[in-house]
Amino acid sequence: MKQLTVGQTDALVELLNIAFGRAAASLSKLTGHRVQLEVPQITMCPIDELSVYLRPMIQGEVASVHQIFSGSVVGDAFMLLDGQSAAILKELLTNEPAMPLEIDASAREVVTEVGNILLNACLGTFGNVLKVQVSFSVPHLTLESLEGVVGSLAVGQEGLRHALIVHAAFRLRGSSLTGYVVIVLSVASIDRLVRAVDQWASEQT
Amino acid sequence: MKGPEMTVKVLVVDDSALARRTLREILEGAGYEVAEASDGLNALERYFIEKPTIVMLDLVMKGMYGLDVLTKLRELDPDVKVIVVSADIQTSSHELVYDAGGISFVNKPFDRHEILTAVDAALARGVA
Amino acid sequence: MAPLVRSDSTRLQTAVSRWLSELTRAGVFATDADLKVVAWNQWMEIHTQRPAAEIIGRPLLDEFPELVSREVDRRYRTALRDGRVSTLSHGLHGYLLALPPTHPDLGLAHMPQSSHIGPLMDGEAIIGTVTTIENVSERLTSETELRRQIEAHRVARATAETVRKPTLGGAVPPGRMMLPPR
Repeated sequence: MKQLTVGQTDALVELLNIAFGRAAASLSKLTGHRVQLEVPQITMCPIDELSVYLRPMIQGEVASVHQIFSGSVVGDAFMLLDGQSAAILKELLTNEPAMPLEIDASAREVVTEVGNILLNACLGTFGNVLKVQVSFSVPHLTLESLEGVVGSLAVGQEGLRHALIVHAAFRLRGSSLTGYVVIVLSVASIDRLVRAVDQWASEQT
Repeated sequence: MKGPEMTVKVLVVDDSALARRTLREILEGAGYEVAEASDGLNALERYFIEKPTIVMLDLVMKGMYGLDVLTKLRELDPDVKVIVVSADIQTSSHELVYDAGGISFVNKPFDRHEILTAVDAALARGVA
Repeated sequence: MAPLVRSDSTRLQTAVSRWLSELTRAGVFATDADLKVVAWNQWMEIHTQRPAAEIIGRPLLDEFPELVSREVDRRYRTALRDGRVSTLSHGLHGYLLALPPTHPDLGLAHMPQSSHIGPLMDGEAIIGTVTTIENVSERLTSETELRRQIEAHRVARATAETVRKPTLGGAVPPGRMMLPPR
């Protein structure tokens, strides 16, 4: 199983800080509200263990915003929120009460855009800073069980083996929200990414 | 970029070892002395032990948030010169930093020229 | 009835392009790498009142300067530079282009829209941008009605709960008589 060194973890957290900072600035500009960020926490696990790892932290149905990326690194990126957090997020951002996500298309769209902003920031920062060329698909939101999200991965994509899980917490208008960014990569892509991270870290010092 | 005429000490406060290492390299390369703290509480201790001329402070840290560290430092020493260095680039965050008494804000990722310009500007403040 | 024929890929692509241009129920337009308009479908013609012949070749940001004032031009530049796809939800943006409303009962100054802005690809190369715009007026009308029904249901339930619970004020549950004190 691929493990990150302490130094690689530190460098990735710094990159994700930069990415989340950009995402927060975009959201803040759109909504007029300040987004207070917390330090992202990252871990890596094989995709077979992904739902076991995430289940204690995300209960019930999951709102999942999914974007496929390709180029020098290839894989899938997800923003995962439990259903209630997704509805709260919509209310906080638009000042309009959310109905259950299953019947509120406008809420689903807002959550999709938030996921798009976050995932674009993460993958875009990796691309720009690490000089790794990446292109993206149109984001797509689903509401399903965590097992359903992971299950579709295993079936759909040959060669995807590892998941980089980012625990992202932030405060918006006095409410705390926690979501997860999950980046699923093949072994070859993760090696390329880790090499690019090492190169970036050594260029900083 | 002029180096300092006498040794100036900068306290770097960041929970990222990479960030502290990077800033150390930039600052020592320009002739400044560097002390480090890896979190807010540590920063408050180190400030009074090291007596730095300038503090370079990250905002988003585990434990004590950077703004709280800034506020506390200013309570304890109203003359403290704090440059905030952060990936949090929101305009509202900049405003909060200035309201709390920070003297400048530098965005991450680090740009060597920007860092050293900010330090020079901080040193020039209050010089007769 | 029109005959069903097997066609080569070029003719199929031409047919698909014509379908997208004329029949799709969303606005679709494309620009080149300099953000000059290169495609403008029938939906766009109808709702902007700008014929394709007039707008093709024109700089998008000159024709729609509000894209710059609202800083949406950044989305076009990141599409060209980084290949990023942007989603612009109605909830956070209201609309992409200030177009006349199609449902006056909503009381909105402009047509409410959801849109996507993305790179136009030729293999691995980015050669321009493509934008899709969806009119979400009907969806908003449905959501308003749904909210009204949910609220009405909530009020009805709250009222029923109040009637069921005994109160200190002496409200008598149905079927019980209050007897005078001896």
